[in-house]
Amino acid sequence: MPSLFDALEGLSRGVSESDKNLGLYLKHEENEEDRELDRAIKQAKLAEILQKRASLEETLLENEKKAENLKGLVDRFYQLYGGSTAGVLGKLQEKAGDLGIASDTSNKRKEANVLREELIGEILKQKGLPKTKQTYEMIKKEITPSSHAEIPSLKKGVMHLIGLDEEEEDADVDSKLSALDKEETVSEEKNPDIGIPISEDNDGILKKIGKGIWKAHKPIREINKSMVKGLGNMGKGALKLAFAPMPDIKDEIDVISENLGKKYNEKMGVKEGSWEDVVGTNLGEMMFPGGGLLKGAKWLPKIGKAMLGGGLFGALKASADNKNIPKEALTGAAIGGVGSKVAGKLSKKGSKTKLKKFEDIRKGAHITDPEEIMKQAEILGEGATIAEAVQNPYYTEKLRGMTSRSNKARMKGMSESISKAVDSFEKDFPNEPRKVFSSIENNFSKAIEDSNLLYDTAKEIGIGQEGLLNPKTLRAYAALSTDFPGAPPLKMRKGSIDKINQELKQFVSFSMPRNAVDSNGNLTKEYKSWYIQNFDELPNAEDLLKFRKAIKNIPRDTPYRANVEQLEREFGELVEKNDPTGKMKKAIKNYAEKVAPYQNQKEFAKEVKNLRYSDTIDPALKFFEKDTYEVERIFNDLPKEDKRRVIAGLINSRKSYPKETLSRAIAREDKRLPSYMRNSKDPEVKKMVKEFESLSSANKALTGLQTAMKDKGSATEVKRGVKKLAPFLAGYAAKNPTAATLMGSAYLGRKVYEKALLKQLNAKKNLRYYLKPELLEDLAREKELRGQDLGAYLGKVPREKEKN
Amino acid sequence: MHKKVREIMNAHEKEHPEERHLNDFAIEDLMSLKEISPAKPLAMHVGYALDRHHKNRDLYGKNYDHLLKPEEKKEISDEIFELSEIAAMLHDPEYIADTSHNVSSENQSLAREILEHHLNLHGPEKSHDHLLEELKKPLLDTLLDRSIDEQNILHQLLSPKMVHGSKHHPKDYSEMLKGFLVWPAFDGHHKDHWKKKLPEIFKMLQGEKNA
Repeated sequence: MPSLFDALEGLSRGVSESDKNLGLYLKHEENEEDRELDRAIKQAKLAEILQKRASLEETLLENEKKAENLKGLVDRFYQLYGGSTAGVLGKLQEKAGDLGIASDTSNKRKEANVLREELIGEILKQKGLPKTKQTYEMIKKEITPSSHAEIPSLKKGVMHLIGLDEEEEDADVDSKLSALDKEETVSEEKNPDIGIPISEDNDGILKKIGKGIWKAHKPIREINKSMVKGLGNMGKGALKLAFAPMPDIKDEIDVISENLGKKYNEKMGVKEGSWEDVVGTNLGEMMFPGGGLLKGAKWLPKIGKAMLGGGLFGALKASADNKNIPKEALTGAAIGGVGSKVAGKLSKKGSKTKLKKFEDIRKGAHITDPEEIMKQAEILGEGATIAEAVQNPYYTEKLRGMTSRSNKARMKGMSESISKAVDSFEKDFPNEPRKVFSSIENNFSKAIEDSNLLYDTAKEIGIGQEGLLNPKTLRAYAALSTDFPGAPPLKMRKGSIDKINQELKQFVSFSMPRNAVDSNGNLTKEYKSWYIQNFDELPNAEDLLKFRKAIKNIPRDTPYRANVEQLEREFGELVEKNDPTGKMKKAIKNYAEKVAPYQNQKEFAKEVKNLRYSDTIDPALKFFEKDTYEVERIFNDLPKEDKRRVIAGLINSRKSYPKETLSRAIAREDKRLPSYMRNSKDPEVKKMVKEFESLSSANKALTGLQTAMKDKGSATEVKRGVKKLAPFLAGYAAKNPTAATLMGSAYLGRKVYEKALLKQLNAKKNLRYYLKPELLEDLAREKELRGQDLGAYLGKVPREKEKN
Repeated sequence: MHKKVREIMNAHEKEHPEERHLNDFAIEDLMSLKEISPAKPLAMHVGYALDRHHKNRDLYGKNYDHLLKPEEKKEISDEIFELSEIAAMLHDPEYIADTSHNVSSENQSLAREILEHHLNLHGPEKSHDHLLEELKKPLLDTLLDRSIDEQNILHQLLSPKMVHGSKHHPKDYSEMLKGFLVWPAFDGHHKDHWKKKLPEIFKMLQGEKNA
């Protein structure tokens, strides 16, 4: 029987058990509550998410529907425009529809215009633009097509504006694309030559990948890298071949050429035997003689040009910035450049652009005013001048394609034109030299009269008084010019300084009147007369002014500077005191230019008198052949008609034998007119000489052309002929623009004529052509500061003579 | 000038005795002219380079002498001289500063003026950078533009005449010629002549000025 103690023990155990169970139960209960709570929370959250999702789905559906509607709207709008008549006619029909004359186009336009209102509203909304009349009109103008050709691009643009890019249709493909694109970018950064990963899996989207990369990597796209490798190899070939005969650099070239291909391949990650390597090798071989592949490589110049521009100049710039330039990069770039120039072609696209610009200018300007065309070309330019435009391959090809027969016809046309011009020359330059004599005689008589009157005139205007340099000063002047080597020239006139100085000394020492000053200290009439008669050789006021200017440029440490300055002060005071109105300067200048040449050529005047009754006119013409200052003065004083007579007389007198034609004589005598005529600053003389010279070179060109045409009439020869005829055409155009244009159109073909004319305007592009205008201005200013006229004059004097 | 050329060639021959026959050819080509000109030796040299041998010397000599008229030769010679001179200036700026020539061309005088202008304006230390932009680049533009110009007399006239009777196309000749004309400029870049030699030239110019 259980004892009490057992019972108590059992009770105690039971209580404890039950306590234990209770604890467990309670804990269980607690966990249950937690779980319940969790469940509730989760359920609540789920409900919220579900609700949100439902709402989102609804919005998405709405958006999709809206997008579909918008897309439909855009489609319909452009469909209606596409289905109606385009251009001005379409607009007219639309207007007619408004006036009640309905047509298919007007109905479609009416519907389209309603849709356009909706579209504009949507665009304004999407872009947050203000709803003003201005923005409305702007968008209306932008989205309305003016031709059918514009529709696809406009439609794409409108889709983009309202956020409906066509690419978005395929989100999966797009995400793949963007992922691949990113991958591609990274891979290109690591190794710029890996290129597009090609596998069977992504083969379907290859085109799109290419498209994406094409857009994304524009600069790299400019230079096709595989071709760069080709250029490397090409350069290798070119170097080996072209420079092997230059042994002084042979070793260096060998090293470069051996390493160049390897380095390119290494840098670009090209494996041996890969297609890039094969292309490169082939390109390298193109450089060898007989490789005809070069003709097909039209992309080559563009790449080479880019390499040259980016590589060589970039390297130069880097060098200027004191950055280290890898030699290999410079080498490769330069060789690329050589490759480009070797290929030497403009890309087709570039040519067309330039041509278009040229055409635009030509249409806008009259061909008779080439200067205007050039000006416009420069403004429009962006590197494409007219000259470049006419030199582009388009014209070359055009000319090359001409048949032999047409070339012969063209040559005949040129010949006829030149014959006409020669006839015209004979009319404009009559061969009647005797008529010149009366003008010469008249001028002589007038000059001698002037000479006699000069003293009185000088007296009247006051220079007969102390205005002339006194003997003391004159002696000092003469001494300075002979005793101080290197001093500025005292007499500013053409001719030998030595001679002038010698004459000056002689005058002062021997010829100067002894009684130069009277008892009152005034200059005697004899002295004044002597001075006026001889002031062609003696210093005058004009010389003085130039002399003072020159002194300012004498270096400070020159030993004779103090003497010169002293003299300058004396003369300056003298002039300022006695010639405040400048009359003295003017009178003396007039005498030196107008009277003195006739005074010194009295013998010729006598000869001219006799020639009037003589059978020959050669002595007179020979006089004008002399290339002196005085002859130039006498020639310049002749009236325009007489100047023409002198030129014609010179040419006719040089015919080798009586039967020789004038055109032949003209062709031979090119550039043999005296230099005072050829370099004359007189616009009339300049024009005459230009006419003569252009006719002369045209004649020569034609002779060469005729010889060539007899053989085969090749395009090259014609081109050469045209090139040489350019000066003639330009000269002829300057003289008679209308006739020249007609002639150009009729005989040479308009484009060829334009080319010839403009080629003349485009002289050789020397360094000056490429310099910045500011730099040229700076250089000119520096020259000016260095002593302008004097500097130029001194420049012609040999240094040794100065020292003596 | 004949003497100068001979000196250069003799010095070269001394260093490379194995190429004596080439030297002889070059001298012979040069001496065949009444007036010295770089045109004929270069024109023939390009032919040799195309052939990769000197066996057709007669052909090229004949083509140059018989197919070209005297005035054409003069024009070609002038053009080659101008391009060579520009290339020489790019190859080595010493040529620009050199006043020992009897006649100074317009391009050379202008280049020298620019050199002096920048030296006066920026001093010897800073002039280099300015000269790269304002002299070297324009010189390079001049050289490249003129040597690639298809209307250039060298390509229009010289190339077709020189390949007459040979297996070569005028275009190939023309391309090779361009390479030769441009090469010195590249060589000058490669050897950094401008950077290396300008300081010395500046010193010389400053010395001249002070004297």
